[in-house]
Amino acid sequence: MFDSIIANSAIWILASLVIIAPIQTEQVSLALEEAFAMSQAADVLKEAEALGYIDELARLGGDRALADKAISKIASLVPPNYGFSISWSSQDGIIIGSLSSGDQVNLVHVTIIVSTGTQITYLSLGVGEG
Amino acid sequence: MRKAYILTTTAVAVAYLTLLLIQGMSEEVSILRELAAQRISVTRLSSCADAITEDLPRYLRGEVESEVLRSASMGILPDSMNVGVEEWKMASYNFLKDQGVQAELDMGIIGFGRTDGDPEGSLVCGTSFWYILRDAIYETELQDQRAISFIVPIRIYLMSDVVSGFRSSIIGKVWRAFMGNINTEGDDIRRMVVETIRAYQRSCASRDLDFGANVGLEVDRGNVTTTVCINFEELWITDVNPEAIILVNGEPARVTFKKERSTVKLLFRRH
Repeated sequence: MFDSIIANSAIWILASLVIIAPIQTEQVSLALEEAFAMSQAADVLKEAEALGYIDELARLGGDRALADKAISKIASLVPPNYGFSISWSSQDGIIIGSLSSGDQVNLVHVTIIVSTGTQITYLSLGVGEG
Repeated sequence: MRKAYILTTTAVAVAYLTLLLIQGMSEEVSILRELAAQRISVTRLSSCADAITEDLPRYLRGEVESEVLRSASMGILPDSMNVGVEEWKMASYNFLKDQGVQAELDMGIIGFGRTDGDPEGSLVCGTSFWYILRDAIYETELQDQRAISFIVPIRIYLMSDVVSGFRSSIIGKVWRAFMGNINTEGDDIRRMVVETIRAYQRSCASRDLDFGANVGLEVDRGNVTTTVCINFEELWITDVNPEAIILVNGEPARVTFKKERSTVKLLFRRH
């Protein structure tokens, strides 16, 4: 009888852990992935700034035709195998230029402020694995 | 009875053990989640700090370029008091608020100076910038102070010097000519003015500056005095250096330092 009780107890504990552990680890893994994706997006924008791509974008003064070219340069800095979405918009929310590629689910966005000389704009980069 | 007692005790013990294990696991997971969330918060704050510190010089440069253009068109040196950052500060507060970041931004006095080196006689702008960024949810805070300094490669001080030098040179030459001989012919003076303008044009061209002047002379000879009026009708200088291009409403433009029309009257008395 004791053997049966011990076996049942062990199974009960193990079953509880097996059910709960993946849920808990999944939540942690999502939070860590989000943190990592955000740091990736921040790094890309930092590198773009260092390479002068953001200044180049700012000097376009909101020219839609040339914006895509400058945005493509920033997009080239996103690590391969990452889905991304870049959106350049005015303070009123009017999109001046945008570009996206790959999986658009679970993108983590980082936004920066870009003064162009004629207006103040926002550049948002969303990055996600996949 | 004994059997039921054993079973109940075991069930309670197993449930308690399971609870302890799940609670322990949850605590570990919570700590990890908290760490991940704090990392996101720190990354967001740091990204916002980078964004505003990189953008402020960009905004200021545009404002300074506008001031240089405005002052040059009036033939005066730029004044840092005419450069404002209130619009940028408001936009930054809104931008940071949208990111869930509370901010305190403060700036020192904006100062203009003349470059020591290349490009000679250009404008250097400097100020200081303090910020405190807070993430109210995770109670993370980031504060820093940055010195901002950049060069606007338009040789505004040099252009002002050249224009002043030209005026002084013309006035000096006319003065010396009439002091040496009060009967100096007006044509001789006009020739000298033309030569001076050409000399300045040559000198400026060698330094990527486009110089132009239109100077008129009137000589009024009386019995006792001779009056010479030097009319500086037009006097301009443009920086044509490839670096000296600014954007005006998104269009590239060059800065021309243009002195307003002025007249200098010299009076010579016969002895």
